[in-house]
Amino acid sequence: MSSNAAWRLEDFVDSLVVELDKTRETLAVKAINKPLSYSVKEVALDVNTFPSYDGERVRFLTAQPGEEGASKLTIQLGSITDQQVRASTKVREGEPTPSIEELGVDDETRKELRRIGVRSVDDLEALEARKVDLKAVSDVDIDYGQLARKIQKARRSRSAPAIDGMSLSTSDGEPCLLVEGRNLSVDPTFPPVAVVDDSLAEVLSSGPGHLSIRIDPRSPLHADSQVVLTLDPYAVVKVNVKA
Amino acid sequence: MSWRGSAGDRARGPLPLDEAFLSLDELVPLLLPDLPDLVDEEAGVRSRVIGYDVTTPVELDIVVDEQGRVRLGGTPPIYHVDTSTLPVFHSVRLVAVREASSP
Repeated sequence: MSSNAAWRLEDFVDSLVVELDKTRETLAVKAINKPLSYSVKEVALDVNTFPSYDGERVRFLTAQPGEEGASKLTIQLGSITDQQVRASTKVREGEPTPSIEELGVDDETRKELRRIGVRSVDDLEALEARKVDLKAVSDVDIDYGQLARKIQKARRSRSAPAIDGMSLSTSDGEPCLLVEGRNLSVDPTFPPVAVVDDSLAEVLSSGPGHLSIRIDPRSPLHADSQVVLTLDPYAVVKVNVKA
Repeated sequence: MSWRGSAGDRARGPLPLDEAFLSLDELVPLLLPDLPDLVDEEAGVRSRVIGYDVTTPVELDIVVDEQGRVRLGGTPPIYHVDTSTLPVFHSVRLVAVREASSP
């Protein structure tokens, strides 16, 4: 017998599910040659364990011969059809939102959010929509302002700006630099800021796919101009433009 | 039937089981009977098993690697000898039904 090590319930169930998936595949293959076949509809496993709590997680140590006083952990898996899964699964539109781990929050906040069942930004927003006061149910003082900023930052990193091309144009008879790309100006509350060769430049118009920047005729672009675009607090782009 | 949460290969890996144990995907099919229909030609009766509900004690080998991944092995009780220190018997219950497509 291998040395006994404590395991987490989710890892145990994970393994159990994988093994049962493989069982289903085995039975399906067997059914090709032997028409008489059965499908496993339910599996229940009683495991004698010693649960322990290390302050963060509950782990289970499998009872060994001669050890008394073990608890019985019963895991019951029922089958579910794909149709039922589809019917009972809430479909979220658009890109999946970042998980709490992706936000880069400190360990204490992450643990606390996890403890109250918050695992993704979607979960947080669902609670916010229902006006749940998280402070009332969490032990630590979570900095929600910082959390909101991290969420926005994580979101922005998933839809990072990309510049496809830049060209010189004119607007009302004045030269302007047209920047084209994707996910450029996506925050309607934050007008983009442009700095051309260390001087603030006026952004004439902006949108997710373009930015139009007025170029001062007195200081036109030169052979190696530098344009810095602050699209929002989480997206700053620096490009060198050769006129 | 579909077990939800195909965790892919996350729970797999080169975790060796004790050689006396079978992985669960090998053990479970072995616990399912494979009986043909019971036919009494004189009485003109044909009986068929349409489902099983099996509960059996098992010994488990639960292997955990450094990343916390778990692999499960099991076997029905290996030794039938009454000893002063008995193995730990866990329990597994399987409910299987005959596939509708079976003849």
